[in-house]
Amino acid sequence: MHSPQYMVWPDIQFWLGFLIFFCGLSLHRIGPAFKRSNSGKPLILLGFILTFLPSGQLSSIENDFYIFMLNNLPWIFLSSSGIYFILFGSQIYWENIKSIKILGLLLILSSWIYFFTFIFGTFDADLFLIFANIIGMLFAFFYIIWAIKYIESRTPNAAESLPLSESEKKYVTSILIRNLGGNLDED
Amino acid sequence: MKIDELLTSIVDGSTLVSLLFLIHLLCSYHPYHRILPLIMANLFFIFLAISINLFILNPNSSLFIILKLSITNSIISILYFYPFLFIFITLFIVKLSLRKRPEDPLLKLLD
Repeated sequence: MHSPQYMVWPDIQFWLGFLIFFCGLSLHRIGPAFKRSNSGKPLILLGFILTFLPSGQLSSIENDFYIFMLNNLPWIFLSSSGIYFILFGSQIYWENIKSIKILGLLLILSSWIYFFTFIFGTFDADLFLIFANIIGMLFAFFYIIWAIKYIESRTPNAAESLPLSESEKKYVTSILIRNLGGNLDED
Repeated sequence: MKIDELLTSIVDGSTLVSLLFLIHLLCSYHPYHRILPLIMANLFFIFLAISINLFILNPNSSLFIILKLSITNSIISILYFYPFLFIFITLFIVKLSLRKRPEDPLLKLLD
């Protein structure tokens, strides 16, 4: 197998899936914490399907990458689900949900068992190159932080905002009541 | 291991993060966010990283292949690194799941 100069459809589908997946992740971050963008999760799912269900034979680079990801997918899925369930069960505003937390802990335990049983033995990469790659990522990350800080510092200060109107006050109060509990009439 | 491979690996990681940040800037756009200066700064970084990779480190390769390799190598590195990170995540998560929420006088007022 080799990588052709032009892209065949399965490769296009693979990379398009990746792009849609990351677009979905970014879109999912829009909006307040308790109400995310509606299009985020469907896009994540679509990207995932396009990436992991190729319509034909992938080229060499894509195929190696696909197989590596596919091998790691079960334990990454188990660990991510475990983390999600424990965070969900230990919510900040509501009561702890013990059964969900126990399920999360079991998922994390099973992800470690899967990792040591099936994945650990296959890890044969050069660790220096892995750490060099991580250093490169950190370098870009710090550059982005610096760029944001620099650009924000050069943004002129906005004029003092007007106080909230009655309807805005009511809206903010309803958000707080919805998320912290309590009674709107008590106010 | 040659120094070229090490430098290529560093540049690959930088390329992936800056590409993801570009996608994030475009997808999370809203009218109150001035993204143009950030996009310019980010594009400058991407072009610099790709130029170093294409013209200095791998002059015989093509832009297409370099971009694909940058993304694949970096995501594979993340997957290799994840178990190390997952050790700390597991410890943190276990600690979190055993923690009891302290009494909050403000939240108590709501009852």
